[in-house]
Amino acid sequence: MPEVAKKIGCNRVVKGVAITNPTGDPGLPIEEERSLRRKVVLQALSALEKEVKTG
Amino acid sequence: MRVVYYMNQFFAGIGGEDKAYEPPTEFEGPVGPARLFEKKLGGKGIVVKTVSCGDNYFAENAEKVKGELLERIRSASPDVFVAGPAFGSGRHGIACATITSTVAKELKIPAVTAMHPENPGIDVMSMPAYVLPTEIMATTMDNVLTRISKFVLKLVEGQAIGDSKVEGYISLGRRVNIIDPLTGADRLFPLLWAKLKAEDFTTEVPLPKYEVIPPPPAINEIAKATIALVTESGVVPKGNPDGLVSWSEERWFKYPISHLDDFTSTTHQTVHGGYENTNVNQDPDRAVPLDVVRALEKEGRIGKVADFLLTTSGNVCTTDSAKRMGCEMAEYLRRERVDGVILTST
Amino acid sequence: MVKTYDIDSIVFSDRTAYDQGVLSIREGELKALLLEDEDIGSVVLGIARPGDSARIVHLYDVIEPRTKVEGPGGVFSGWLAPPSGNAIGTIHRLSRAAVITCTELSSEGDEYTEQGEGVVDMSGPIAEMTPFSQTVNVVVEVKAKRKLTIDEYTKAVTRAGLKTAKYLADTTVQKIPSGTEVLPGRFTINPDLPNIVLILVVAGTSPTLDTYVYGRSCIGMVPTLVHPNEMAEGALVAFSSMASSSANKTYYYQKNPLIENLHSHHGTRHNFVGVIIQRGYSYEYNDKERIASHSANLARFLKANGAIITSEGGGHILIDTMLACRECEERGIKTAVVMIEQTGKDGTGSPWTDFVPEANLVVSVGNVDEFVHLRPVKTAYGGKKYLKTEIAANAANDVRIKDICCVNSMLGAARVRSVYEDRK
Repeated sequence: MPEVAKKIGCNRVVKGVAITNPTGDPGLPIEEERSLRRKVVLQALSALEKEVKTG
Repeated sequence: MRVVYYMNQFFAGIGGEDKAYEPPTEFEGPVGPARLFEKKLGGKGIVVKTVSCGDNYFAENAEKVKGELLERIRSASPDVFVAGPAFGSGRHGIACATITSTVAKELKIPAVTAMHPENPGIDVMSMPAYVLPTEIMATTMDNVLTRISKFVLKLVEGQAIGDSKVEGYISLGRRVNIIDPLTGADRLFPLLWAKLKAEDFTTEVPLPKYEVIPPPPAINEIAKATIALVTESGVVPKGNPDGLVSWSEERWFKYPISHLDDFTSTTHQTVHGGYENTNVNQDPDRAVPLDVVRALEKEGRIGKVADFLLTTSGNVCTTDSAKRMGCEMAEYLRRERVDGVILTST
Repeated sequence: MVKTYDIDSIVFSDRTAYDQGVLSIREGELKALLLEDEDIGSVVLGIARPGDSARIVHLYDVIEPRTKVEGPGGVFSGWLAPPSGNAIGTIHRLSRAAVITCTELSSEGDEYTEQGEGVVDMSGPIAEMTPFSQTVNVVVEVKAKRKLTIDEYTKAVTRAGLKTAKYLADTTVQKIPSGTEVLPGRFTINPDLPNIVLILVVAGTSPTLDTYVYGRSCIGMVPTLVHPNEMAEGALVAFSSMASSSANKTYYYQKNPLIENLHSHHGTRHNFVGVIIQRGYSYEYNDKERIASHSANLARFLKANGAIITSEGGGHILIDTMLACRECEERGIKTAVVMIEQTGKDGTGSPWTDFVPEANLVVSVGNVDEFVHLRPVKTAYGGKKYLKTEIAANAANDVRIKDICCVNSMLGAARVRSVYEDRK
């Protein structure tokens, strides 16, 4: 729930896939799932590389 | 009146930052500020023991230290417990707040500490312990010790403690039920009418003041950066060697991952009770993306994956516990010279 | 038109009748009526009066005795009358009286049968908090005849309560009322006053926590408008076997304290423009947003300047409530939210389950996690032991305030609230 994370003061928040699998999707074949996971992680790294303002 | 007094390694005269890893220790009688405190009791009490611990050691081993200190304190049969003052020092504040609250709860004796109102230690204070406000700098030590001694004497004499502003302690924001003369339905209307007229009104439940956490600056050269994996999803080595619990957990653990390229259902599992575990148990990378992060490390996209996974189970975790654990994890990661963190949450 | 008949006392007697404040009930006749229902196996009746050393346990619902004497249809449309509510005409109500149904739920198979305790004390410190210590209560303890599904069981107990409520009010036909009130059908709007709408966020999740609108569960229902007179006739019926202190009971849909205040100041402090029923407890966040936004759109359609937003139960329905608040405020509608607090046993936790920054006017109805002490009493109605314990129902016990009926009502019906300790 990215909204909750933002509300309590997290500055760099990336939306995960689902509550039961934030960085995965059991509905996908393994190659596609890894691809999706890589996408999410790259978003996270991108956030770390970006200057962020509060609020 | 028998007093046991806690302070960190610095105030106990053991050493500075270089001694922040000292384990718990004790001294007979008063040491450091406890000496002046004892004088201020005016003969009505003596400090029978001073206990101390390095701030970093406390931060990283809180559960163990709590237990150990409690025993050292208990064995001195105190009537009263005092800790600090921690002033603006965050680690000292958290340590003082933790041990003071624990003593109040377990030994059921008056327990008082003191620190700046914005010290993160305030967030881990719990009733029936008390915390008095101080300045940030330790220059007002004399005044603070006078206030603590007066407050402690009041508690020991069984005097009723009133309004926080009058009595000079920091309100922990404890809410209690009362029976109002009017029903909620009757109280609501004058408030809403005022709001509709853009007049002042006072809400009955103030909005939470969530901290504005200034964002750390961006990572300049991520190809040289050390990135740590941290999670509240409850992922642990298969067999859960430290017994991470599925809800209301107060501890976190670090597990080596430098020898792993991937999490699998044979190497790891989750124990978090707040979400359906099947997907993550089949492939724990679905909660902690080690496989991808390791691949990115090999490709040179990031410098290095940190050697340890930091994990806890965030289910039904109190905000106090979560905050404390976050502070402790951050301390550890800072010392390991980690540049960035990917924190996954369910 | 609403004709009120004051109740001074209720007694068992050889005939059922109302005579100048005294309601007599022929026990056998009422029992026979309720046992006509094929799902009901046994009925035990009792009368719990204000001031008695008595306690009611296993409380299921509370209903005000009402009947319709003039006009189309009848009370409790969808249950005792065709599901075609047309709230014009005349109803009769018994004041200072209530029907309280009690049961211990069970179901065939392993269906979800969560039931929380529901308690009313007729005297002592707990009576100070629960509004139903002030009404003369006809207690109807019901047992199923055989294994029923949880859906069948809750409906059977509901029917028993509604039937009893109508049966008792029927005694007032042709009698002279203590008071008469005309509830307006059309609201004349004074353009100089702000328009206020009431948004009731109601439970809709399972047979033990649901709300029936004209005889149908609200699960899946889009937010809708009702006229307060429809509610007075029993359009909304509560199915709340959990969270007794904060769940709504049918009584407070019939006799809603916020609607009463909305009526009494209509034309002088505000214009009362309507009631919106919003189903809470949907499982997906998208649905919650969709429903909350729809509610706010209805409020805007009614030209509301202000909205009172309520809730019931606890947990994620509070997200529905907060979203309704946010959506209204975004449309320029100023909100007042009625909310329970969940600050933990010692009151040091955060009062908020979920919050939006727009929720700057919240009326507190107390911390549901506090413990209260129930002292020993002479008589217990509704059951012999506290639910899921071996403790006698009339014995002393320490329970969460959650178990005491309606003391944390998010319709603002009770007087319990939370304050900071040093401001007590």
